[in-house]
Amino acid sequence: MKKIELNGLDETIFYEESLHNMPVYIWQNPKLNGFYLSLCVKYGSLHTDFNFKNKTYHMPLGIAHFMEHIKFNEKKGVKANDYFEKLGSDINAFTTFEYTNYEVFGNDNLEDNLSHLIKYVLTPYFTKGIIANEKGIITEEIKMDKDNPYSNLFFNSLSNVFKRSHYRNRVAGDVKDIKNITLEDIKLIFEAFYHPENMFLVITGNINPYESIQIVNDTLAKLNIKKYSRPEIIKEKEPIKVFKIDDTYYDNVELPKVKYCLKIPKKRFKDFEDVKLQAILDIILNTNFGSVTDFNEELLENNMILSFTYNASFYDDYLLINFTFESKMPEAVIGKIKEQLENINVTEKDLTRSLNGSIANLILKYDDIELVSNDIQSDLIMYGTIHDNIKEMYKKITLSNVNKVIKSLEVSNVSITKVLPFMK
Amino acid sequence: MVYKKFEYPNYNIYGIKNDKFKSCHIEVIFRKNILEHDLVERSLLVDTMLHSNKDYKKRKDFVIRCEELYNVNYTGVINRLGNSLFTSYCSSFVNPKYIDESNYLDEVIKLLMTIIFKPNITNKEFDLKSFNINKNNLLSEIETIKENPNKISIINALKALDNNSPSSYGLIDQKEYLSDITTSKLWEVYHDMLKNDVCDIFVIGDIDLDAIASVINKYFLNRVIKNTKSTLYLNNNVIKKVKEVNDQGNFGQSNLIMIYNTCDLNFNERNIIPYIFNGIFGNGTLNSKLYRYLREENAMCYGVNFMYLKYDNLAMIKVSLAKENVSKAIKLIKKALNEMIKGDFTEENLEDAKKSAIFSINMAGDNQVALLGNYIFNTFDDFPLPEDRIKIIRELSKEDIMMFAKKLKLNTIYTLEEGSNI
Repeated sequence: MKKIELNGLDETIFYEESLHNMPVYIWQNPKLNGFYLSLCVKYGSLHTDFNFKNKTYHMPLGIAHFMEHIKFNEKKGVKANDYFEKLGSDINAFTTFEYTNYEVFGNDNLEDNLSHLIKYVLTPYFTKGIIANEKGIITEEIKMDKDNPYSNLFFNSLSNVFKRSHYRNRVAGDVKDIKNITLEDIKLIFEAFYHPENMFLVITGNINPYESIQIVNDTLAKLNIKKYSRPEIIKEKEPIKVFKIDDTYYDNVELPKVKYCLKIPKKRFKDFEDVKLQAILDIILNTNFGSVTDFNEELLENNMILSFTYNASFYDDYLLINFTFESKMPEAVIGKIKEQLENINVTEKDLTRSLNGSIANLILKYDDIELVSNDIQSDLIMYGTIHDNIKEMYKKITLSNVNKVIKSLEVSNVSITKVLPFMK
Repeated sequence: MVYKKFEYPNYNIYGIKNDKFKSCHIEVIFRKNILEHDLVERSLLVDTMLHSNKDYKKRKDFVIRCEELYNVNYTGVINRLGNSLFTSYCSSFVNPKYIDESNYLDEVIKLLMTIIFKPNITNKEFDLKSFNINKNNLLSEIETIKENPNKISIINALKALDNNSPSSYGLIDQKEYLSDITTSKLWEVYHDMLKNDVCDIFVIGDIDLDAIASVINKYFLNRVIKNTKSTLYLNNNVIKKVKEVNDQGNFGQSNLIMIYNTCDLNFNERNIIPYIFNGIFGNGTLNSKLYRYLREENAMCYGVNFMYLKYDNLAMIKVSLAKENVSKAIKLIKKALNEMIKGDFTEENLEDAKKSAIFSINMAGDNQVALLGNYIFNTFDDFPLPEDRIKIIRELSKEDIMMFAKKLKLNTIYTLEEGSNI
């Protein structure tokens, strides 16, 4: 088993590829009571169009999330929950744009928990009746999400930024999309994507890494797993320009809310690997728009904002920088953001202070089995690998690096999405 | 884990030494019996105190200082628990052993005590600028409560239960009162907290408890307090005829809330049994009665929650669903509770619920704030520590669960109906 030492953090990640080529990442902490198992399938809401065994398929939107729901069925009248409840463990699952995570929280009996997690996710049991019943449940889930104005703003903004990419669609799809899902669709998705070679497993907490990998291999050896034929995901070429520059809609809100989103091709930052670019962008945003800035202080003092958040995230070939705020004077705040974007600056002092904070956050992450696992999952999904030198990387960020990124920021390709209260 | 108590004339420090975590956490808790306007007054007070103080008059300078102290985090929390109001000032920080600065702990505690004892006050008035920012923010925050169908339906349901009960106190109807609060009124609120609230300090971390107690004592200002007692438990009246209230909302789904009084609970029924009852009746697993009847067998909802409001002597069921399913859901919920009363569940169900409760207790042991929470409620309310709770759970019988179910008396059924224009 390979040991990945996380330099400067006194932490080790164990790594091994299991039978059937599934990467397994393990972080051990014997001081804790529990463990967290995450079996991740690299199949998310983006992957509805693909070529598989010489045929092209276009699946209904929301099918990855639909699969996540019905995957819990093990046989007639039996759900995975029944088994884990007997073990006194807690199971759940979630779907993102990029992947689906089946998770178990437990504090006893690792073997049964881990082995059954792998078994139930990799064993198909789907019927027409199960699919029909789940449509009602997911309809209520979608309706519940649509009663959340923040969720609506998030997805509406993405649909204004992207013209072709599936990032413009809700992860769960819409009620009309899931009505079209059939038993055949589900069987196809299982065959094409639910294979160990298209999955990875993250185990964190009070476990023995060597025992864990043994359980994984023993379990996989007993399952009937065929040779994998990897589908090819069809991606539409996404144009550089945002789809809609300005969009206003009405919802159940009391105060206007706005997402101001910059869409920047990642290739503009080709000198930086993604993980370093992300760290530098966080510093730039924090020191120019955060609570430590005159910009933020002025917005608050003039009663221009109730809330103001910002973030930089990668979406395939694009970097999106989002400013999200609630305000009674949205246009004035938009003007201020534009002004600030034209005058971005980071000083040596800002950089040192911001790096101190980032390093502290890095240390504190290793207090929590879920945070460590989430971090590994997100590294694997975003960067395809985990980084063992993050602390050193932070220490090596220079002002000249930061200025180079600032220079490459293209701030004119913007989509502004506003939600206003219904007329009363 | 080592527990240690330090007694001082006008406050106590309770410490837990634990080597599981790389961070430390401290909570300074002020307690009093709640009055109608306390929630809004204290919310404004805490927000304003965390915005600026005598040493850092601008919020920006305060946040810069926090970053310099390796992203130390300071928060203020206002909580109504039954009849009590908790005003807590909290801080989470990296264990000083990972920091190369010898006075790091001293600086972190000093800043926490600066927030509490050196607010930005001149001539018995809070600084107008920070006051206005936070007042405006709080006014807007109150407006946005109406955007959330879950919050608004729970608030309305508790108002329907009893508009005068502290259980129904909240921010939503305090806009007018908040508008009238002045900088000098806020000083009175602050002064009242220092003078009259009971104060306790809780600390957890892999840290020398004597050393941290000594630093706290160095910066904690002496104050003269009355021997105030705060009472946690609240009695909401039981009624003979169930209240049914329907409101029209503008949301895409309807929200159904059913509120029950919990009557004459003994020690175990108050502290332990509701969590086992919930495992069989209504928690998040798909096998509980409510999930099975409402979600799995009738596909009428995504989730259903049973919430036990211990200090209000209430229990609440909440479900989001389509309007046409509301009456059927009420019937199914009543059916599920009747089954609990009659003991229509198996020994196996009971054992599964016990395992699930013990699992939750063990997992909470991996969370520093939850561990400290155990200690806080053990101190204030004799809430059994985790190992004692597990012992009690193991001994519970089916009859114990049935007896608790019998003590749930339906009081109010509230529905916030979906809008016709959605």
